[in-house]
Amino acid sequence: MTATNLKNIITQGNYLIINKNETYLIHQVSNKATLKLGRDVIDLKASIGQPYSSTFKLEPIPEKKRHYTLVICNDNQARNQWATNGCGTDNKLITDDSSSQLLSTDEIIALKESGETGQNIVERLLENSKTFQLKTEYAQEKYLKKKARKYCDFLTIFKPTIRLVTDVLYKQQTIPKTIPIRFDTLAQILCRVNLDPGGKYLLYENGSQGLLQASLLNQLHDDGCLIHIFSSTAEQNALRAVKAMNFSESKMKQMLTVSLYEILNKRNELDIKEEKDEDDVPICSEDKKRKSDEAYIQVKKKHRSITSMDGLNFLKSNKFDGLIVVCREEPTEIVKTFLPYLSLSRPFVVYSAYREILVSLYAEFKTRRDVVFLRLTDSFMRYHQVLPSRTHPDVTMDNGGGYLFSGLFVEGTK
Amino acid sequence: MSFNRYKDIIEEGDTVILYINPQAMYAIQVQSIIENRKGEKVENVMQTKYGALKISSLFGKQFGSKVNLSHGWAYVLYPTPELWTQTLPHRTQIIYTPDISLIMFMLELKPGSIVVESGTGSGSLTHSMAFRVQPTGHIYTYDFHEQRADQAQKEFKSHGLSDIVTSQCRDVCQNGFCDKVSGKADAVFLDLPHPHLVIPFAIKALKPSGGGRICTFSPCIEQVIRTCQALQDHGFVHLKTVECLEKEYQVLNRTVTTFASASRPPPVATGPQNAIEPEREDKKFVACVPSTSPRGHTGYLTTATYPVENQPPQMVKIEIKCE
Ligand SMILES: C[S@@+](CC[C@H](N)C(=O)[O-])C[C@H]1O[C@@H](n2cnc3c(N)ncnc32)[C@H](O)[C@@H]1O
Repeated sequence: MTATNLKNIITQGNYLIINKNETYLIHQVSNKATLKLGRDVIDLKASIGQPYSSTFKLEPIPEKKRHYTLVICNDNQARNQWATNGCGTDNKLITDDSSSQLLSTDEIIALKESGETGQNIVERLLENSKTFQLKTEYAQEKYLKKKARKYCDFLTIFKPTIRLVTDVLYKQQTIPKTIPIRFDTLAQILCRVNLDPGGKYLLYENGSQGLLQASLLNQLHDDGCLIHIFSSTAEQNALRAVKAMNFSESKMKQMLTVSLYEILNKRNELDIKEEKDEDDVPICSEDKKRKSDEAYIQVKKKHRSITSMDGLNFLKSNKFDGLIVVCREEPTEIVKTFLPYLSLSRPFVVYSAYREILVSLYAEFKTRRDVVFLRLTDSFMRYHQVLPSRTHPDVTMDNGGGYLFSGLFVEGTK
Repeated sequence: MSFNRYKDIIEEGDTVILYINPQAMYAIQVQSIIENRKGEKVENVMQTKYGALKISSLFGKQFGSKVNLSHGWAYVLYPTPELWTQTLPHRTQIIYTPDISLIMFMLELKPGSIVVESGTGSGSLTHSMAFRVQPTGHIYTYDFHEQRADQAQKEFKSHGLSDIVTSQCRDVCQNGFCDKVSGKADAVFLDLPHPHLVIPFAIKALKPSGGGRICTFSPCIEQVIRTCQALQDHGFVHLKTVECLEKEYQVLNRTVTTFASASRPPPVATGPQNAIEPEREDKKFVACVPSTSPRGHTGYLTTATYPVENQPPQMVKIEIKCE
């Protein structure tokens, strides 16, 4: 079996995206390979060695309340399906009282704990519903969809992709502690910065749980490079998204991390050192090597960034193809500090959850001579329900896309 | 020139974007000599709102430099796919950057992705996708309009994208995609009037290992309904239909009259001509103004995943043991 095929196999130690009905979560398969999902405990062992995107049926373990094992089941026809037996034409006969379900809550819980499958539980619920037969076809569909969410017997395991990771993280983040990056905003960022797989990128990120690093790394080819500038106020779990992507060691080495503090304070120091005496360099080169390896190990083990000397040197001696700033802090000084690191005719893009911040940045940048094509945007994004005769926009929208400010760095007037 | 790698210095034959302001950007071919209507070779001079630009004066300049026009100035920019989309010659309706970004994201494109696209149209999306999947990926793009397919092919070649883009004339609703892409694609994208007819061919093009993505762009909801039905009938999962419009804001310095000025007694009309007007107290502020007539609709994007095909579970396990 080829290496690429192996990459598509669920492996112990890897991060997975687990999808059960409408919930998605990021999960690392530990040695024990168990997953707690609500009040259920699921043994994932049977999934190891199977290809990603496989679907599994949850089999209750006898004698163990709410414990399940997995059985592979890629047959679409075998999914939860419930037969309906006729329906009403309108809802005029349905009165809303809590007595329409004959089974009591306790009886339903008992069913669940006895190891009954979701399929059977819903069948019992239907048998014991006084109103189900009277509901219209559409209402029945809606009812079943709701029940399926609760009593679904299947789960699917996906290989983590940026698209899936973005969606999972977005639902878990809250302003102002962390920043939720909506998928369309991330998509825009990647386009605005004109992501060239072989390019060199400068990223200042704080608060997205590593989503920006992960998506940039994901878009880079072997010759691309990313410098992540981090703040001393970095969040807990700052590299969650990076870890979730199961990047290879060589991929991880394309990202160099440098702290803002060290750039601002060591920059001058290094300049002076180099001018004064060149002999200094060989002495610390051993140290440098160690430090850059350390950076990688830290990311893997401690989930925390440390400054690599390679990164610091790289930053000092290169011009970059794009600057991305996504953070909780006021970005103005950050953007102004790193803009001169760009080659000419290269883009920068700044995200903020607050329009006011970007408005003042824009106002200031309008007076600069070395930036053009300044744009401040947000987006109107909505999903649509598409069903025969019932197609319409979703009734609730999501307004959390945030704002983007972008432009191109050009020759300033002399 | 090559559209797929940044370069620094402008040379003969390059394409550059002449940027005067966001409303006035032009893609120009850097050719010092052109033929005029009479077929004579003449010096290439471009006329802009702010006067003339001698094209040969661009040689040796850096992308991103400022250039003088006879009555003003402009910048010469590198033709990124985003700027190309804004300035390309329209042969059809095109897809713009906000939708393009979503399409590429939802199709999960990255270096190495193999994409099948139809129709090619003006190549707006194709350029962006090519940039995103290079250097190891490939875009196979089809249009049934011979002249358009031909023109696109020439454009990709002159933009140095021949290694990344293959363009062909083909009616994909009738004949599907080429055999050589069967089972190879990571993603399929459709922007044509009857995407639902192409769904079965899309399945053939997608990798059989499953997890392949499809995206269709349709301006009309009726097309979306037919597409979703077809996707479902053919076993696609995780159907999503989304629309996304970019809203742009201007940031402007504005002033408003204060309450104090408004509540003063009105000036006396019969007073002497040179009576001193009481000083007005205006309030200055930075306004954030949405564009007055933004795009209200482009198209609906429908995406779905092709699931893993039914296969006996043991097969895979045995293969691992052989490793
Ligand atoms: C709106 S344009 C595509 C624009 C393109 N996405 C872009 O961004 O430039 C639609 C194209 O689909 C082509 N087309 C329509 N039906 C087709 C078919 N059955 N097979 C191949 N191409 C077709 C048309 O010739 C037209 O060029």
